[in-house]
Amino acid sequence: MRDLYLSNCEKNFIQKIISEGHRLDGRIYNESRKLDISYGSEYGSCIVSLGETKILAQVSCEVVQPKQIRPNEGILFINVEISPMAAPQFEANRQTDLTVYLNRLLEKCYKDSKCIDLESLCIVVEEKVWSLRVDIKVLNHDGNLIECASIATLASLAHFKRPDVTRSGDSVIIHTLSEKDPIPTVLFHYPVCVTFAIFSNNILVSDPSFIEESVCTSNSEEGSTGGLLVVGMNQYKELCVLNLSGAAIYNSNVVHKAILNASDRCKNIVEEVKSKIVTDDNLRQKRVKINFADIITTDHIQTLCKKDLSICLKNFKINDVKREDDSEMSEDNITEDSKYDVVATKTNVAEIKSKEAKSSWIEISSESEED
Amino acid sequence: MKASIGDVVLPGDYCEEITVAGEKAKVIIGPGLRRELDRVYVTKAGVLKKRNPCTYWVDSYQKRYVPSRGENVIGVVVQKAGDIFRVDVGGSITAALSYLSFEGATKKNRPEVQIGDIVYAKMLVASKDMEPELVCVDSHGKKGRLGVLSDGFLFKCSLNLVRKILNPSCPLLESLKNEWPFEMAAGMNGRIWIKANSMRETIALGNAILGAEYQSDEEIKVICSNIASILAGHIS
Repeated sequence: MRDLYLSNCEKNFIQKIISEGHRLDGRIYNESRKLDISYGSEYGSCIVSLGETKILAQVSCEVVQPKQIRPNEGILFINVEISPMAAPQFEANRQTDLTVYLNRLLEKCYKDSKCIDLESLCIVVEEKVWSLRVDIKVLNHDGNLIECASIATLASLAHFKRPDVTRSGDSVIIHTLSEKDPIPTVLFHYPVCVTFAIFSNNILVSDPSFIEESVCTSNSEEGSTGGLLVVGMNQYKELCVLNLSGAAIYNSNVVHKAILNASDRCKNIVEEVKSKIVTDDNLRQKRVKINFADIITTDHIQTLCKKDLSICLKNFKINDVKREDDSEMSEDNITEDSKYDVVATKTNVAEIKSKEAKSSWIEISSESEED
Repeated sequence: MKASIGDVVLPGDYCEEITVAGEKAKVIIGPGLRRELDRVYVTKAGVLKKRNPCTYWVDSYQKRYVPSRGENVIGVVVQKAGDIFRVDVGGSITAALSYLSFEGATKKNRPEVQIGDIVYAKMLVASKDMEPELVCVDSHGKKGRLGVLSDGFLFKCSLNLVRKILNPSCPLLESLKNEWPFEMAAGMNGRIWIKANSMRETIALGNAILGAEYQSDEEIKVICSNIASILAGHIS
């Protein structure tokens, strides 16, 4: 992975606006970006988008021999892939620290918290068990991959159905989907990871964007004072994962506050996932064809058009602008002669020049004096 | 597949119109087109465009920058290596910027550039086999508008947006300059540096620029006045 270069002015600006109580995209500290889950044509495939971060998850299953130490349990395998499609600093087919970190965190959240009933995946003890494989592919990286990836994992695991099997004597028959209804995966609880960026050791910012994430983990002159706190929780407000990267926290209140915020957020996410699965199931029962093409065709033009800008004032809504009548513009604003003038000076260069040399901070070139 | 002017094209398509035109006169083929034997092939997905008399190119949506000579770009200084600075301009590799290519710089009088600073520079060498090279002076040795940019804020956007706002017919800067004072530098590599008197004004500026991407000229004017009224506190 190539290094990510962050300029001083970005760092200072983000640090300053965060300390003043604002965020670059107009959210408040505790506000998350828009979550969207859409399912594909097959069981266990989904695209989850969190703002501009997009992740594709696909669950697949195969029959394998169980591990020696756990002869009656199925296997869950999680694989995370980040390609150059996500962001230019990543290289193809190469493991980076980030992929390993994501992989480990998801394993902790879903394997070690024992949310999946692995024993139900057993077909023949010591011989045949189902092995579930979750493939996570990052389509676009705009910060908070952990939260998005964990929602994608949960949504695809909860949606996944494996083929039914019947045993007759020694032989095992795996039925196709048309022969017998597939069986859903049993989830005891629904854990989800949420991320908080910590700025100057006491400000908690939930769902950090890419730039907020890189600023809070980067080192400043006086040493790093920020970090990323990952809290994994299920819908019963039980803690599953706690992970801190970056500077050490010397104030326990930060963690308490994060856990308090996370519990509400996790509950909402799990409800969202569950309701999406119910609606998806209903549609499938009516034999409506569902696939990823729906994401594009339902809002055809909007696929390119960003609804959320990465830099945004608190009250700005792009949709309001369109509805507003042109006549509403106050006339004195239009007729008022401008103090400044945009002049094309060279190729690719436009410059704003003061007409009457009113403001001192704009560079005045000699050509503009006759105005 | 055969394509004609104005079509949405995909890599691998070819255009016979260009070949035919090339037999009579000199043809300039721009980005996204490549001549292979006696055909002109499309190498990018986008819209095939033509400007009279004989200039053809593919207009595509792009976020990754490919250095090209003569363009003004904004880069981040990432390394000081001997007598050059390495500058990240968003290309496949970093670009080199000699410390002598600043105004008034000599071997004794080194320019003050720190790692992490951003520079507005011109692409001097951009070849596919070589490291790109930047300069911060024009051919007269004057800095003009190039050099280190201090304070403010740097953000990334698509390459199309930069071209759009730098287009002389785009009303964005025209309408924004009436509202509040600001400074900006737009690099053709999809980076825009902005600076205004306050944080809020800087954010408002970035908001207006990013919001203009998919809007028509009329809508851009409305957005600008809308943002100005939010800034002034008329709409809460």
